[in-house]
Amino acid sequence: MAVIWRVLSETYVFLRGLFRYKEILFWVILFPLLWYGLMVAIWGNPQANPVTIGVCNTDNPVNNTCMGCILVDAMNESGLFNVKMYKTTSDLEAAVSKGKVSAGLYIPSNFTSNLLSGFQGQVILYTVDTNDGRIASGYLEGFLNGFADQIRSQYINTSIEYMEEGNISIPPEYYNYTTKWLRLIENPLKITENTYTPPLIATSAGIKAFYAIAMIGVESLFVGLFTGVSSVIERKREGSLRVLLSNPISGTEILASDIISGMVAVALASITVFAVSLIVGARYQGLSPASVAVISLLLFIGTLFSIAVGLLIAPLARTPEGAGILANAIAWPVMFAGGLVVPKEILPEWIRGFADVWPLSRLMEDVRKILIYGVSPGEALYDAVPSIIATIVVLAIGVLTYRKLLERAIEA
Amino acid sequence: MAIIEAYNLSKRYPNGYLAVDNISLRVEEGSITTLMGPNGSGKTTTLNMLTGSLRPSSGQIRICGYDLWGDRRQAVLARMCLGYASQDMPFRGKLSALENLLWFGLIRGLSPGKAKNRALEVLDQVELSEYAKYRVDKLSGGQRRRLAIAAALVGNPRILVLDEPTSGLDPAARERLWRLLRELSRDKTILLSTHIAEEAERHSDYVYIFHRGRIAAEGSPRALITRYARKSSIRVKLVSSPVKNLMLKWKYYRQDRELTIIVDDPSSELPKIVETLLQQGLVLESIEVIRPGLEQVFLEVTGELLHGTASVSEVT
Ligand SMILES: Nc1ncnc2c1ncn2[C@@H]1O[C@H](COP(=O)(O)OP(=O)(O)OP(=O)(O)O)[C@@H](O)[C@H]1O
Ligand SMILES: [Mg+2]
Repeated sequence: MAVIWRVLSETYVFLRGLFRYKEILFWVILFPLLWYGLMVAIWGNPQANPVTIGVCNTDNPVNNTCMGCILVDAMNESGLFNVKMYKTTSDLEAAVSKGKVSAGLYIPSNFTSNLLSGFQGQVILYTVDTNDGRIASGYLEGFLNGFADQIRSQYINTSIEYMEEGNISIPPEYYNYTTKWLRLIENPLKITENTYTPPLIATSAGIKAFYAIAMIGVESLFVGLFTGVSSVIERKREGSLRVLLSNPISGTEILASDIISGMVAVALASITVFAVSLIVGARYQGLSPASVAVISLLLFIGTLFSIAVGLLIAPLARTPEGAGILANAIAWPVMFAGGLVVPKEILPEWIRGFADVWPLSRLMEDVRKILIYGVSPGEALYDAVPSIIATIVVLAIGVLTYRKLLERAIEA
Repeated sequence: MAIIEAYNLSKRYPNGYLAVDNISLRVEEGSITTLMGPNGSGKTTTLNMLTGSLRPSSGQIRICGYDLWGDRRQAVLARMCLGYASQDMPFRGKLSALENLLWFGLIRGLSPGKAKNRALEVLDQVELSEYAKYRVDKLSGGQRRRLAIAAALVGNPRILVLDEPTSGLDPAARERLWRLLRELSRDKTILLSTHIAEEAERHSDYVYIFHRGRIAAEGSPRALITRYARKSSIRVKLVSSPVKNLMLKWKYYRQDRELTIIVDDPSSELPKIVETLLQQGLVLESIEVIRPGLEQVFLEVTGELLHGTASVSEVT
């Protein structure tokens, strides 16, 4: 029984101090929320942004009809474009070349009169050969083709009307073919669209879930490393090591008390981030008692791994400040290269290999599999076996290192 | 019966410095035992070793009969037997006095309920009950010291080990702390360190005089004084350091502008001393008669002043 209270002593001070020590509150609650907010604000919206198109419309109306104006109105209403109007072609060219707009469209003054009197309507596109530029001109061309389809439809309908009224005489034996072909020209392809709901990860709700899991992983990484790296050195500085050693608490129990309070910190941070993510609209799959249990286990192992790494590198630090630098020096690269906050898929090939073997990354990936991709907890757990084994091995070495370090601390 | 026994204790720090050099000591149950010595003489080093927080380079320590640095079972039993208030207790400043004591109770293995009861009890014992809810960093130096003692008491140990419990306190706070220690010593053994001779002399049953990592002398204050310092001394402070050797017929120690002259009968010899000094052209700043005490003892057994930094030349 006494052992239990001894190993919970650190958690007691941690919880008591949580709201009184600003730095603890920051690292446990504010830091992950801050990052979460940032990530969601930057990446949270998967809908394509409207492309910005510059338009110079000099079209002259004919009998109150302005085809150029109809085109521009349609562009505005489509929601695909953010249209910026320019008075002259040189203004438009300048805007395109300076990158103020992703593509430009010039509608000359005879656009309407040409279209109404049976001539080709002309427009001029200004495009830039960049990713953005290509996407913009692609959108624009597609849109113009749609507009052209409608004009074609109108001309064909009018032609067929004329034929039916006998205003255009066609030999009876060709009549059927002609109208049929005209209809085919009007619409040569019949496109049937089947629209599916996108997978969770491609939705805003899924991306918000993705980053919530990312932040939980980051918290586990930071708390774990700091716990492991400063367990002995910090205590030595503040003098609590002396006091602990003069009490009936063993080295292993001191370590256990740190691990538990670290776990409580990660749990608190996780619950906070999870709750906030639900408030801002994240959606998760497969939430069940079983999956929550497996996820907690995965998170526990992940944090344990980070602590173990911290323990391993702790002897390199001679001061608590040095320990802090050491932990940061590992945490930040792992945070990005480990695929915690950056989707693994967009990492360069050679970095992805790291995310594939770093146990914390793999474990967080397993958590994602359950919560975002709907993989069963059992399957995810099976997937986690190598990471669990790796964690046990690293932890065993970490504990040995810790014992040596503690031994060194007792010597002076 | 000796509740603390240490034999041939030495500590050489990893940097090679020999801070404690082959000392042996015994603390009788129920006594107040004091380690007295100047800064850097090895008191803290010794107390750390005796409380199980610093591994001795060599030697044996038994606490309540258990081997402090022995196997796990003995090590635990020995530590259960003592409570240590180090020179600067690592209290969490933003937690209350009660919360800090609860933390120490948990470390001791008490359940939260028991720890709380015990914490309230010891707060009462050290007269801090009304400050239970105060944040530790709002407590005065004296209150903090009493809280440190409370922390050492939480586990209800038979031995209290206190490193410089009165340093930095004003005379009133010091007096109050000593009253508390006397009170506690009724059912506890107290081992403490100090560099104040007057304190050691007035309050302790047994004194170990530390000097450069060794025990220079030991005994009850009375015994030490009768053996080493039966005579009084006269301390003279000069306005400036004398350039040449002094011609005095008394045994004296000199440190910079300060002379400590050993005399048999201060009242009859004082005028002669003043006369002699004036004859030699010296200008006096102050004169003080010092009754026999541990400070004298320290001077006699080490040849150095308890609070001196420079070395002392002895001329007879
Ligand atoms: N960790 C250490 N490594 C090396 N030397 C040390 C260490 N700790 C203490 N010392 C040295 O050991 C000597 C004894 O120190 P100690 O703290 O035991 O003295 P003390 O009698 O308690 O002095 P004070 O009255 O100043 O507290 C000092 O010279 C000190 O510099
Ligand atoms: Mg000391």
